[in-house]
Amino acid sequence: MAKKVLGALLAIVISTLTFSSASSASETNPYGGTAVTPPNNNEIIFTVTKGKISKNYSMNTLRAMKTSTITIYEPFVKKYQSFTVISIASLAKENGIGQQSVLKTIALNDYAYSNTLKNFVAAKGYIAIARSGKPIPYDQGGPIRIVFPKDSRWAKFLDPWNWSLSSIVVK
Amino acid sequence: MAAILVNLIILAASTFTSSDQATEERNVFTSAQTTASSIIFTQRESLAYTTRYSLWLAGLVPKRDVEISRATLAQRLNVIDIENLSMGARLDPEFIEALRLSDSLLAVSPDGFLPRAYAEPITDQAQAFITTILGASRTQVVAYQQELDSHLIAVAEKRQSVAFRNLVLLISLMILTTIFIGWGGLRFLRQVKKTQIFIDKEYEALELSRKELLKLNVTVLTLEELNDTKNDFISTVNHELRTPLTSIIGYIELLKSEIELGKDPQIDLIIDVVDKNALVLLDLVESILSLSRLDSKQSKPLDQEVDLIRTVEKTVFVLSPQLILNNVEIKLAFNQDNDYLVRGDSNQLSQVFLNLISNAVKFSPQKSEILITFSRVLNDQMQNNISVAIADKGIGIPEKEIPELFHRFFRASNAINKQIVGTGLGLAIVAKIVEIHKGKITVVSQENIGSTFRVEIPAFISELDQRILDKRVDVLERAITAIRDAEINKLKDVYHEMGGALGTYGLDELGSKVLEHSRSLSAEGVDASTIADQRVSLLESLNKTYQRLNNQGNI
Repeated sequence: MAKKVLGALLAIVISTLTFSSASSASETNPYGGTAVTPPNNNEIIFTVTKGKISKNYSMNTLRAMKTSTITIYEPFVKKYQSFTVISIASLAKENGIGQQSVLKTIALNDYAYSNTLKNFVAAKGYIAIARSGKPIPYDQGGPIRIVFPKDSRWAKFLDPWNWSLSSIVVK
Repeated sequence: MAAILVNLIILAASTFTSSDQATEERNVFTSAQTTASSIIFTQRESLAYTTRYSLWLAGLVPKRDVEISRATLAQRLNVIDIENLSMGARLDPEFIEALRLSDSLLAVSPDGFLPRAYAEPITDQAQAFITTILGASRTQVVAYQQELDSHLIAVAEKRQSVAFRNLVLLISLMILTTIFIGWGGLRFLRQVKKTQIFIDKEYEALELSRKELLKLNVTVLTLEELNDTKNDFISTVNHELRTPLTSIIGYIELLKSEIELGKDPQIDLIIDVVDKNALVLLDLVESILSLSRLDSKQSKPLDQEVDLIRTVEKTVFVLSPQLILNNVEIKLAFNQDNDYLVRGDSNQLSQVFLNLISNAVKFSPQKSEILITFSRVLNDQMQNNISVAIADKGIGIPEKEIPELFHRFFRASNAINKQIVGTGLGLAIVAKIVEIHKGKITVVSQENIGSTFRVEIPAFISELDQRILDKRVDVLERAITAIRDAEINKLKDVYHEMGGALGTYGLDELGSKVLEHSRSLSAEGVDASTIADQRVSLLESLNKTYQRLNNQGNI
């Protein structure tokens, strides 16, 4: 009984700490400039291109997809943060992408990273569309970005963590 | 050895330190790689931002593009590295200041594309902070590169120092090991040398022993030759003595016949003394001569079939005058159905009984009886011996003197006391002849009660019988194996067969026993456990006999 009570208290403390970490993460970037207006809900912010077919996504279409919430350790700011995410596996399924296909993820600043879908899925890759239930600012990797949970084999391998994701090209 | 151990420990410690050094270096490189990536990305984002800014000033891109580019740069500046420092904190404050200036201009500008009229007044100001941003980011890269270079040089120097230390330790270890191996090798060579010296000494000792053995052999041969010479000498001397003695005895006899005895008692006494002493001397000479012949290698007993009954009867006949004189009677006891044949030299065997019976007569009181008993007995080798026991009722022999009885020139003390004439060689001759005939002689005596001398000589066996006897051990071995391995239902037949075989080969008693077992198996109601027990008991008897025959070398 005592163990159960202690366990519950511990869970409350951890969740409080996590929440406060997540809250603090939502603070403004000290190096940020003028506030950038988040994209319009229907504005095309993300494109998946497979061969000659491209599929466009706005924040609304992304929010309409199956999402979940995960808390991860954000390696760039070194804090726990809570993200609303869409799994890359489900996105790939929606676009009919095969496991051996190579995904080239491209950011707004043209940073790109490529690997097979099989490896992205094995690494439990997600596309984060909100942080702590709010849009992710541009100066903190928004509006959408790629994240990996703590138990992922790429949790500490930072190259695939693409910020401000703008498109995925399938080869 | 201790030095090598110490050296090894130091080397291990040094290697451990080197390992720490390697870990430290890895951390340095990891840190450098991460920080360098951040700096390069910062420079890249700075370049992208200033480019967009310039394009915006030129009215070529909208304000939002610049804002997004600025946001991307801000994201990069906010990255915390492994030293827990943000990239912004690493940059020159001029860079941040220039960035703020760019932000302030952007903030007050209208959205969308910048109108030319609006751009012209701020272009120079923008040009200044763009130059500052690009210069500061470049300076950051160069400064970091220089810092990294100095760090890497320090690491390399440290590594070189550790490597040199390890090399010195390794060389000293090699030197010490070489010294140790050399020392060990020298010790080994010294040991080999010592061993060689020891072997040489042992060889010399062995050689000496061999030479001594050869000398001993020569000595033995010389002694044997000397013994032969002695025997020849004794034979010659005795022969030379016997000849005049015979002549003297002859003349005494002649003298006795020529002189009228009883006329002069003194002359009678002289003649009697001379006569007796001459006879004693002749007896002594004859005895020495006999022993000398028996000792001689050349003297081998004849291999004849000798009937001991006849031999003893002849001896008794020869001694009859003495028997009459002493008033002693001799009786022979033997089984008429048996023969008492032995293999040997009839003359020597006659000598044995002549000596023993004449002794018995000599020491027997008047009107007494001497009993000579013949029998067949089994010896230790399970062979038949002919036993002849001569029992008198004479003066006997003191118990403590019995062991010396067969020594040369030994005479029992009571015989000497009673002035009974003798040479002390008679029994020695008897013992020697019995030994030559592979027999044995025993004596049982009690002073003033009498003595019994028992002579045992192996019974005469035909060549056929000898061959049969030689086969006994083989037959016995075969019987043991057959009886041990036989199945219960065949045991009766095996007993029957082996019992007969053992009887045929002179093991009558064992054969009878085995046949008896065969017969007992015919009886009804004999259970398996009884049969097994009987078999074990029988095998024990057979093995016992087998061991005895083997131990006595009678295979």
